[in-house]
Amino acid sequence: MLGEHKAKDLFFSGIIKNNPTFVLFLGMCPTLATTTTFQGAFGMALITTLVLTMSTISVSLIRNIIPSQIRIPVYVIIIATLTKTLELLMQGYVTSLYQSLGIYLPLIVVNCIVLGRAEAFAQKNKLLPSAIDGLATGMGFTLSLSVISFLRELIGTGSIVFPNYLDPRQLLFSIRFFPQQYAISLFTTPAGAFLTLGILAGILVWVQVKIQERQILQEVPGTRLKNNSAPEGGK
Amino acid sequence: MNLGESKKFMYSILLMLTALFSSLILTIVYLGVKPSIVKQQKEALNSTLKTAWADQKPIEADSVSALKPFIYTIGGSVKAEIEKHFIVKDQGESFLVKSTGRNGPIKTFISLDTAGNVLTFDIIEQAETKGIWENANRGYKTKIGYRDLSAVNLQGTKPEKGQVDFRIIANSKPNQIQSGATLTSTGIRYAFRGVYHFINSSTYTGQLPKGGQ
Repeated sequence: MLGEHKAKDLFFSGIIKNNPTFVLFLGMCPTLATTTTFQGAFGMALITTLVLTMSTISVSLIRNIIPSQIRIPVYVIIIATLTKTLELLMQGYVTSLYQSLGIYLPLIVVNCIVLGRAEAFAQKNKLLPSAIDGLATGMGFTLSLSVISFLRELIGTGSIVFPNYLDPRQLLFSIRFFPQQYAISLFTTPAGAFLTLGILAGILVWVQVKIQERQILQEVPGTRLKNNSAPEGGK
Repeated sequence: MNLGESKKFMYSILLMLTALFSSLILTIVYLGVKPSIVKQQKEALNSTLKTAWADQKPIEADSVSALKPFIYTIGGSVKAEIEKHFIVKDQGESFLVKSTGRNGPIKTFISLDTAGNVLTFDIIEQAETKGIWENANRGYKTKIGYRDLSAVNLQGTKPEKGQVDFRIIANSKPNQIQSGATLTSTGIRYAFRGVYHFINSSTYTGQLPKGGQ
């Protein structure tokens, strides 16, 4: 049975320590393309999380039955089936989101986060850890996409609009933070996506470095940290 | 057959079984979701056409793409406009939609009954290639070239009892119409899928199909 601490570690590792977007830089295509609006990115991330969790569960369940020689095509079939199933359900019941995601929805099949977690984790682990890993990675992806899209829509348009997925004529909320004339429309373009991603990834790395430095200082008081990690006397 | 080959054979069978199982699941899901998809498409078509006609505004490219089962474009969607609108008392209404892609316009005739069900949606005129016209009219194995149909224009007329309030007037030269009468009338029958009566060599009038198909 999975220990409580291990489960917690696994969960937070997927969300923060091994965040698929900011740390591992996986799934860049949907990250850059669907983060124009907060509602689109959030929907995309939710669907990816569902596919991720269900695929890791499925792969974990059949890991002892499938010969290793054909495991990759089988994983692809599983992921494609799950993606297509969700796509059909969205087409039937959440049409506005289905239309706004467009081609990026079927492209979840080739999202390297999904296949990556199936291959790197689920095929070696039991059901519960695999499910936690899939869910945590998905939540990490959701968090990243939400932050990027929120900033892009906010800076690019000055407001955040979030419709009801089930009834697009109704808005769940629409908040204007500043007049549109002050918005920087560059952030709604692909260039803005790269810019936002780069800045956020930089901030995250800086925070992680600072945390590590503090940990080292706490463990060994009086230690002086050097910015240059090159060995002394090296050229 | 040595051991390696037998293993390969087994793996192939296993992969095929996985794919079959996947197809089975997807078929079940599709059959379950299909009524909802059709309902959504119907609602989208109804509201888009009616709003566009009421506002007298073109239908934007995104909406045209979303209405793909009913409205076609060649070379991607640019916009669509409702050229004519016909109301048939107690039977429904029809729209003549001109949808424009990068490679030219297509005119589609869409008839809806009073409940908003799509009775017909057929391409009646296309500027460019015959091949595409035939492909677009999927399900109809007609040999009629679009050029026969492109000579036909819809012109609205006053409603008459028992008739649809439009007339199809072939505007080519009389001898051409005479020689192409069979083709044209067949074409119109294909295009409108209704019951049409030949009046004279240059004018057709028709009744809205009852019940729809």
